[in-house]
Amino acid sequence: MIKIQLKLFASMKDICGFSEKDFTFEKPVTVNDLINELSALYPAVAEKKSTLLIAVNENYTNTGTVINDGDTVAIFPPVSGG
Amino acid sequence: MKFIATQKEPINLDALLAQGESPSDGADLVFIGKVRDHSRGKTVLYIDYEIYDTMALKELNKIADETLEKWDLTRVLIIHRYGRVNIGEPSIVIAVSSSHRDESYQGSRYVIDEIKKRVPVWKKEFYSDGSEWIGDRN
Repeated sequence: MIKIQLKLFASMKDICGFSEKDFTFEKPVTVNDLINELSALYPAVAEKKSTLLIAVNENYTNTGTVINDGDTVAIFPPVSGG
Repeated sequence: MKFIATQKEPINLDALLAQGESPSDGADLVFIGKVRDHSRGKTVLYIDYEIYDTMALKELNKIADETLEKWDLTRVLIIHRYGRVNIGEPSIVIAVSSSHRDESYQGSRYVIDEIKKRVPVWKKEFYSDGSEWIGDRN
């Protein structure tokens, strides 16, 4: 069993209606699997998929990354600070 | 040396510039990013900045380290605000120092360019008729 924490920011938080949630999976999943799961629940996520940025444990990574038990996965739109 | 902070409160410029002052510096270069009253044809009332604070601090530290490695600077100071920032108020201050000005100009430019690309902070602009996340559309 793999338990992860998902964090969403900015428009992703608005679309999905939460900023933080725990997910459990029976077997290892990639970030891509997680985004597909979100897209199924919230179709607007699919439209944004190609622009989303991913961080696992606060380091940028790509959608092919395998998520390990205890990881914190953050999914967010392009940043706009400054 | 470097000094990195994220904060909700307004930025105290004098206090920031007092950090790590050195008699060997011949140039202090300060960039102040402010909230302006217009954006893409709309009148902006204020901006609310959302931040992934722990990761933002990590990325800001990485950027400061890279800048100190690439250019001969004596200090890199960065403060980024989050939460509501009103028109005319600084949302970010970047201060760099060096013996000669050229290093400071290049280093300062690198810091702001990298922040725009990598630091997890998002602007939400508020108008009289609504609000919008910036950066979402491109």
